[in-house]
Amino acid sequence: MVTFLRGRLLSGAVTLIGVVVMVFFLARLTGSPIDLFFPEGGTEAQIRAFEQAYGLDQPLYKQFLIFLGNAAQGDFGDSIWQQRPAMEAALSEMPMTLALAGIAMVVSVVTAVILGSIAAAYRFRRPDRIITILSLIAGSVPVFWFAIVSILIFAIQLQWLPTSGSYSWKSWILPVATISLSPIGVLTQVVRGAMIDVLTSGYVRNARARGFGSLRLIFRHSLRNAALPIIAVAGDIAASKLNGAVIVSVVFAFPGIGRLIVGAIMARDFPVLQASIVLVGLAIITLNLLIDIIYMIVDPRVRLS
Amino acid sequence: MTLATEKQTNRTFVYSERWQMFFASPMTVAAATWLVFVILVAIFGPALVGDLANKQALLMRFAPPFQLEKGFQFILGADSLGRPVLLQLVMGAQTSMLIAILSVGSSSVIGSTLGIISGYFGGWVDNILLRIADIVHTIPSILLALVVLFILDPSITNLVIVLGITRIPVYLRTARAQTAEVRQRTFVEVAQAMGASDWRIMTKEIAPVVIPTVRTLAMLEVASVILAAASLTFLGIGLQRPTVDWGMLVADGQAYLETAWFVAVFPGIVIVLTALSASLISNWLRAVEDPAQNILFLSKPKKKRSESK
Repeated sequence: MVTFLRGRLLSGAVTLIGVVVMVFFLARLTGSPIDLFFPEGGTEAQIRAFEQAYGLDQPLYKQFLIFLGNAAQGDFGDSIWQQRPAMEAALSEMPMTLALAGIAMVVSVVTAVILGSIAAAYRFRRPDRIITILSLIAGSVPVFWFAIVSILIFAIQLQWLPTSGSYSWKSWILPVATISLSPIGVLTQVVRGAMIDVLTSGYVRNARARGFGSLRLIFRHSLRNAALPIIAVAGDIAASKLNGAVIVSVVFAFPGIGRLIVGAIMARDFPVLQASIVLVGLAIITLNLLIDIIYMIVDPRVRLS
Repeated sequence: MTLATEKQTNRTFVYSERWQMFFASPMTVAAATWLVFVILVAIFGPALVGDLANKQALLMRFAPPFQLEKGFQFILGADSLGRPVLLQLVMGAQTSMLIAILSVGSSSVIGSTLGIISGYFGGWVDNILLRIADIVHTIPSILLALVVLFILDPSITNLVIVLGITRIPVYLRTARAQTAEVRQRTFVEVAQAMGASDWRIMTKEIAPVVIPTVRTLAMLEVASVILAAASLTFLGIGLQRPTVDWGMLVADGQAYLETAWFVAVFPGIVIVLTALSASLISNWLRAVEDPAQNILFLSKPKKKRSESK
C-alpha cells in the first residue's frame, strides 16, 4: 500500500514538473507583453527598465532556469498588471473556483446517482428510456449556450435570478446549474451501467429471493459495489469542471481562476498565467491522488496489488 | 477456396444483422438521418447559398422568425446586420463539420497508433507516451486551447491542430489499454512464434481488435469536439469572420439577447441536435458490438429470424 502511494505521488510530481515546463514555453510563445504595456511605444530606456524588472532581457534558457528555481520555492514572480505576486493573485481567486466546482460536483454526483439508480431499477422500461435520453441531451448541450438560454429565461424573462455577479446565493444558482449539466449527463450513464451490472449479479438476485425490498437493495447492497466506476469517472469530470468554470466566468462575470486566466492571456501577464495554470494542475493532480486513495479504501483488491 | 466463400457469407450475414439492428432503433435512424442531412448541407449548402448568406440588409435587422412574407431565407429571423439566420447556419455547418471531422480523424488515427505502439512495446516508450498524455490531460483542454490559439493565427487549420492535440490522450489510453491486454493472448503469441514482424502483428493482429473500440469512441468524440470547438469560437478565439461556425453565431446573438433571442438560440439548437445525434450513434455502436446487449435489438422480432445462430 505504501509502495502504491509512493508510486502515485512520484508520478504526480513528474506530471506537475511537466506542466510547469510546458506552461513556461507556451506562455513565452504568446508574444511579448511589451507591446501591450507600451501601446504608444515607450522610450528605449522605459522598455529596457521594463525588461530588466521582469527578467525579459535574459536569454530564454536563463529565463527558464530562473523560473524553475523560483517556482520550486513557490515564487512565480510579480504580476505585470496587478501590483502583487502572481501566486498571490492566483491563490486569491482559488477559493471561489473551488467552492463553485465543489458545489457543482456534489449537485451532479447526487443527481446522477439518483437518476442512474432509477434508470437501472427500471432498466429497458419507460423511466429508463426517458432518463437515458435526457442524460444524452444533457451531455450534448453546449455549456455556453445553456448559460445564455438560462439567462434569457430566468433572468430576463422571469426576472427571478440575477444575470451576473456573485453577490447573493441567488447568483450561484445559474453558474452551478451550468457547470453541473453535462457531468450529470455523463455520470448518470455511468451510474446506470454500473448499477445494472450489480443488480443483475448473483448476490443481489439472492438477496431479492430472500425478500429484501427494492429500495434497501439499491441503497445498502448495490450502490457500494457500483461506486468504483463512479469514483473513477468522477475524477475526470471534476477536472472538466474547470473548463466549465472558464465559460461561466465569461458569461456570468463570475469571479474565479477562469476569469483570471482569460484576463492574463489577453493581457499577456505571464507570471499570473503560469502561476494559475500550475495551481490548476496541482489541484487536479491532488484530486486524482485523493481519488486513488478513496479507490484503495473502497476496493481492497487495489490495495493488495 | 471454400474458406474464402465461407468468409464471404459470414461477412454478409454480419452486415445484414447490423442493418436489422439499425432499423430496430428509431432513435438511431433519426440521429443518422440528421447527421447525413447536416453533412450534405455542409458539403453543398454554402455553394448553393452563395453571397446571399452574408448579404447585409439593415431593413431586415432582427426580422422575427417563423414569418414567410420576407422570403424563405428569413424563416429563422435575421441577425443584427440583417443577415438571414438560416443561411448563416448553413455557412456555419460547413466550418463546424469540417473542424469536427478533421480533428476527430487526425486525433483518432494518431492517438490509436501511438496507443498500439505504446501498449505493444511497453517499457520506456510506453512510460514517456503515457506521461505526456497525463500532462496534456492535466491542463483543462479549454485553457490549453486558449493559450495555444493565442499564439497561432485564427484559422480552421490551427483550430483543428489544437483540438486534435488535446483529444489525442483519450485515444492513446484506450488503444494502449486494449493492446496491452490483447498482447498476452494466444493468437498474438502464435504470430510471434511463427516469426511475424512487430509491424505485421500490430497491423494484422492487434489493430483489428482495437479499431471497433476506437470507432465507438471516435463517434462519441465527434460530439465533444463539436462542443469544444463551439466553446472556443464562442469565446472569440480560433476563427474570424468571414469564416463562421455555430459557436460564433451564438456569440453574435449573446449581445442582443433581450431584443432578438432567436439569433443566439437557433445555432445552439443545431449544435445540440448534431452532438446528440453523434452520441446516440456511438451508444448504438457500443450496444451492437457488445454481444450481451445486441440481443436486445434482435429480440423484438418484427421479422422472425431463423434459429441458426
